[in-house]
Amino acid sequence: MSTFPTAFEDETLIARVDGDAAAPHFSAQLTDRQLVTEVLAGSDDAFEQIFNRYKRPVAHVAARYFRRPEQIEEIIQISFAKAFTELTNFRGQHEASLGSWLSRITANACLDTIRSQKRKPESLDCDLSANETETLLDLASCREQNAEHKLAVRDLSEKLLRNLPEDDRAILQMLYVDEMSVADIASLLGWSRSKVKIRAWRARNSLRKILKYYT
Amino acid sequence: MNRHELQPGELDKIGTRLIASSVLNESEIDRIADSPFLYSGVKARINSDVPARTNAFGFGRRLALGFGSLFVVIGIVGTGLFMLRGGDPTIADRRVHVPMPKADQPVGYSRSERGDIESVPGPVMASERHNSPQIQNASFSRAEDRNYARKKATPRVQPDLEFYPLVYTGDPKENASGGRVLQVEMSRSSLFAMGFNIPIENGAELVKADLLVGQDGVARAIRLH
Repeated sequence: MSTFPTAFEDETLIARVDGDAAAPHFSAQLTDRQLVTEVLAGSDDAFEQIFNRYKRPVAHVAARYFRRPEQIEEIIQISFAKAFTELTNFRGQHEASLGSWLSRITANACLDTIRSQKRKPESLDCDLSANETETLLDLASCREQNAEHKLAVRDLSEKLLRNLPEDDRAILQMLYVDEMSVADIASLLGWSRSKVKIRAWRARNSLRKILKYYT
Repeated sequence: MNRHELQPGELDKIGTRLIASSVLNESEIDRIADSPFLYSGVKARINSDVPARTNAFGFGRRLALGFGSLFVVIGIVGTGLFMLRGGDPTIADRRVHVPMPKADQPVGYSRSERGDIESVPGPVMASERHNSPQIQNASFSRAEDRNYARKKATPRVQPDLEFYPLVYTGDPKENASGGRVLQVEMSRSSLFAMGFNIPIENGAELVKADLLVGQDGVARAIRLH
């Protein structure tokens, strides 16, 4: 299952967003480039239309890096504010779609925020209970999980993944959960493919160390 | 605490599942994206960011930046020239030709022309040699420059005096050539003998004076402290 970049191209998603009818002056048929032109001409409604069209995809990108809703909301606001001020660059220099351009802005905003927080991963100082260890080991099997087990796993993941830097977790999520290709990740983050591979390898090793410690 | 030896593949599988379980689902993301104040927050950020960006590259700032850069460049060039000048041996050996005062009139030198005549041991002061245009054969080095700058930084009160020519009937060419300034202490009686009309009640009392001495060693002019 891939949520990126198909999330940006999901017609139903965009249609649902357009159905919010937040901008009565613009129809859903306006292309991104037309909306950008309107925004550059000074139209607030056009920008609101862009916002409503892309707020969910942007939230998806932000959710890879952050879990708390208020953090994701802040990233969404930062990303759209930056997009507004840099919109002239989009028209003149970027051939990519507005969606991928916004996703890169969002990813960079996430990385900047992580960097500015300078939060170090927490030390491995908490122990798991016997039930938690069993739950963790059960993940290696392919057994079907019930809702209660899923909840336990989620709690466990919150506990364990605190030890993993957010950017490492985001890369692993993009690679193994969202099943994005290395090229897509490189395009999203503006990195080279080699850098993506190296970062993914390091992130995987970090995660292995954490799991080895607890099992 | 390693109670289970898991293979890297198994660890990767567990890790992937853990990460997958921590991912927010669609409904949670929708709820965040549909937050009612999200767009107003974006507008607020734009309103706070745009003036700041505009001001950051406004005309006034650009002007100040330009002037600042100009001053920095001028400072660097000036410093470079100063250092170049101080280290140039041709400049260090440059000799200054100073015309001697004529005998029929007192010579008044401005303070800048006189320079700072300090009580430096020896007959000829380095600062005087360096700075005073009356002195011929003056040579100065970078060390003397530094001494001079240090002394100039601590200004002293100098008597505002003039050189008075002494009676001299030597070679006229000597009158036009340079000399040296000697700081001396003379008794009042000696000064009187030289033609100064001063009271000689305390004839033995010493008075500080500067003698302008020609290359032939004969005093040409004098000024009293």
